[in-house]
Amino acid sequence: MERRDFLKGTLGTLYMMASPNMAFPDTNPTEKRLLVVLLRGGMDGLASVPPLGDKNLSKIRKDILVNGANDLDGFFGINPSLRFLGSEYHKGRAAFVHATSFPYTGRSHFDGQNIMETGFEQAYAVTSGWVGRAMNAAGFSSLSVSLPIPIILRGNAVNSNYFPTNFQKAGKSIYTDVKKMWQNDPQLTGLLDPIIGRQMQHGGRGDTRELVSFAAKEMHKPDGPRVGLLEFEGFDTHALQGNEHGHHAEILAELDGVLEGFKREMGDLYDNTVVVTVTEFGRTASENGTQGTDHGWASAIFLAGGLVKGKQVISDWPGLGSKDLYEGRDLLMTIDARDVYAEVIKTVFDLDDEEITRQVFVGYRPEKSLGLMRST
Amino acid sequence: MKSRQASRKLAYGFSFHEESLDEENFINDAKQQLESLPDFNPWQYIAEFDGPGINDGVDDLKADSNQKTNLSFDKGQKKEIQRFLKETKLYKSAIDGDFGKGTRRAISAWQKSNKFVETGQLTPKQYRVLLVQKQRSGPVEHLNLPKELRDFSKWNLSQADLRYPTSVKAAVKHRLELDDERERLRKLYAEGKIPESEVNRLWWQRYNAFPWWRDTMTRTLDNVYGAAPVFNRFWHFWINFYAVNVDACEGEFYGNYYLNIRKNMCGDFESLLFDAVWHPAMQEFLQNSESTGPNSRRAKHWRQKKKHKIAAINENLAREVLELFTLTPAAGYSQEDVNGVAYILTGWGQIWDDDTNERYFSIDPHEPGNHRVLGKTYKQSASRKLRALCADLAKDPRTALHIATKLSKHFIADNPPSEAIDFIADAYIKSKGDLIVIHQATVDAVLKYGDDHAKFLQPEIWYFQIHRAVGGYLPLRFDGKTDDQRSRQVNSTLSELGHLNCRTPQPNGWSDLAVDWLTPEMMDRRVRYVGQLANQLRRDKSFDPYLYAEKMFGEGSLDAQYVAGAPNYKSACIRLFCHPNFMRA
Repeated sequence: MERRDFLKGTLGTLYMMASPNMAFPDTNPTEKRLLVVLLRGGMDGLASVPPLGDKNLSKIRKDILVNGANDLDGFFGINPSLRFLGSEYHKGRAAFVHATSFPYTGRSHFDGQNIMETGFEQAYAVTSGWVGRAMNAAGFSSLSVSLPIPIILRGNAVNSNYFPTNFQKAGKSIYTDVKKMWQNDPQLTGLLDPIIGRQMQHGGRGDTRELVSFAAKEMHKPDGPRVGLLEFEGFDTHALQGNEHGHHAEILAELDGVLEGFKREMGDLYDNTVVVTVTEFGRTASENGTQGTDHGWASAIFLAGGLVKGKQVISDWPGLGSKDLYEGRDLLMTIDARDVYAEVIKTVFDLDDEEITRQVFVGYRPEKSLGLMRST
Repeated sequence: MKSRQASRKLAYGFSFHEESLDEENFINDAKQQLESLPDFNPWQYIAEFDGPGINDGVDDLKADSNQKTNLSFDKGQKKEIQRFLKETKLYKSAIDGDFGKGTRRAISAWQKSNKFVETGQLTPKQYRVLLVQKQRSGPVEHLNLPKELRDFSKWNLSQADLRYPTSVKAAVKHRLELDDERERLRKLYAEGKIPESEVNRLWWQRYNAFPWWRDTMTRTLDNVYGAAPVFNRFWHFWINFYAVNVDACEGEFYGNYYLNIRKNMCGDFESLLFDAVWHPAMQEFLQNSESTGPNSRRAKHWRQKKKHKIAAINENLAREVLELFTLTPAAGYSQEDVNGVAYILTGWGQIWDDDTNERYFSIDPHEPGNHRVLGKTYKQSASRKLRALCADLAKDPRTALHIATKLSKHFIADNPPSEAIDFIADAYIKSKGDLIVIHQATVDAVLKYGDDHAKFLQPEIWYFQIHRAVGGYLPLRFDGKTDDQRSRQVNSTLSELGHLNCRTPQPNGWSDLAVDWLTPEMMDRRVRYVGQLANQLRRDKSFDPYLYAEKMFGEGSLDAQYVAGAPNYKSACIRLFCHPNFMRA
């Protein structure tokens, strides 16, 4: 039954960063850094941060029930594979938000991912992303370490990306020639500018940890990128999800290890950093017929870094009784994920509520402060 | 000019030597390609283009006749040669594996008809030519390269397992064998008998079929050399429509799945939908195969045995059947509808079960009773419900609209005119989902509504158009028993260009929108790739970018002059293939 997990890698990873826009080098000076971690597929909050104090949990989950979860606050526990995040939590440098999501209940990956990236209530309403618009508002350009540039980063004036290749680099005169050929084309113009100006010669195969440490080093430079984005796939755990062992635990452990490496590489700058996760939805509260979970609604958000007011799980716990669940099956959303991200954005990008409503989560005004950030 | 443009919108462009058709002939040819399944025997192109003397031409083969290097054949090979000579009516005696006078005479006759010196003895190159001819005349279903021919390969194909699983049964059998092998390795590892590195080494050795490599390569060969590129573009469309990631489903199913989709392309949408959904590749990719009805026999058995298992459905595939394959979320179906589809889907994909029908349906995990989807109750017997559901979903005008929209976005423009969508949807509805009619309507819609250079080409299509233009130069080398992506292969090249078809990130397939492909890094890859290719082309002097630019952009046109004005050969190739109007169609 675990046949497909044993010998194959499960992770597709990419990430991206924002660097100060060269056109406005001093308009918004900030030393703060942000790492956004996309967890594609719909991360199961009940398996990563299980509500141990809810007696219904062990009734609706069997094979996938996480054993040996470490206690966080007497009610919530943490999957033992999140070892680093757990220890950071107790040091006051990590926090969790539970029963949170975007206000989307359609259970479609593609609509859900579009909403988590655009930050709008309707899928496909806009083509830009909320991080992209926030960077634009703060005057940043971006560099993504990936081949495609995900929607969440789109919407600022200049986007660039990078990923190691084994194709031979073309000569400078070639690039100049192509740049000229493309200059009057509305879609192609300027696309090669970042390539032409690039110093990086980082051949390789795109191994996750290698790229994370590369990203951290770049973010560490005084004029380096301010925002990184890291992407994990494999959270769509319909089958053979596992518990404290198995598929889900392995991806969590991989994520945990990557974040630990990121902290190490960031050094002192980690004190001025926020790491935050984003997923399209949570999963069904109950286990399904293939030792997994189907698409649900609310999930958990992980926050880490020196700017986070740690050692707290923020939640207005809705419960796991069948009457407590959304449509009798999904964990109910009691905290709008936009409230969490707005707080992060306001802190890292030095934006105010007005700018959040006008440019980032357009038309949305966060209702309450959750107190997730240290005052800076 | 118009037909050149159309061939770029609807096919893989045109080769340097290809004669330009007038518009009417192009349309007729395109529609004819879509009317019946074209031959698919891509190995013939390996036979033709791989091996010694690839660029030497026939003269070299003639010269070879004078060499005294004769081959010694074993009995089986001799029989095969006799069989071939008999098929070509040059040999009339028994196929006995003994080369007597009769066989020698037949070989001489064959040599004569191929303008070789008549010696009655085959030289290695003559043998290769014979094998190529044999391969061409063989049945289409045997999509495999003869082992003997592989040994001549300069692409190192002797190490590659090129078995193409044309029957789903054979694919499943191979898959189960691999499962056993994996279990065996896992056990050895668990018992501490071999280290992890050895597990991986042995696995790759056993698993050297690299099915995705084989499937990408065959499609590549057929797109670049084949006679039905329009058909192949539609094939590519449907493969992407019913996207399956080779990582999630076992690669073994992949080639068979592709052929399964292909085989339906002259039928109706209902059958295509049904055949994609029940296929083990899709069943495993979207994990339906282990979905269990809560009241099924299997569930009851588990309860009796007090097995620690929850019998419930997995709705993954069910949701995509409604969302991606037919109605789309705009149809406003409910969770109950998704559940209904999931109940109907229980029982399919049971490749581990001995007691199934030929499409791997087993009653064991199937949820008994009637199931409701979108207000309709399905009362058919267990294994018939899915077909009935597919029929209803295929009939739904919202499905017609979805298919028409997808086709228009793929072939016409990112934001296609609504007239084009309506035109194709209308063809769908009037023909009751007849794919020939729908495809032909798409051809008409492309010619009617497709503006020049309106559609930015996905990397794969751009790549095949380049290689069709230059007449080959495919990186087909097989670097042996490793998953190394750095070697010069079509797979690694497409992966670096950002579009290795079999590794679709998600079930919705690769994007049709330019905005998802226009990044500095992906554009840089295109420039780099053409630069590398130009180095090769320059050595052989067989491709003239200036003349091609004239064919493509028109004699004396500004764009052709621009290519001609390039400072050197490499620059000219890049100006041509990275030209905004070459990257679009």
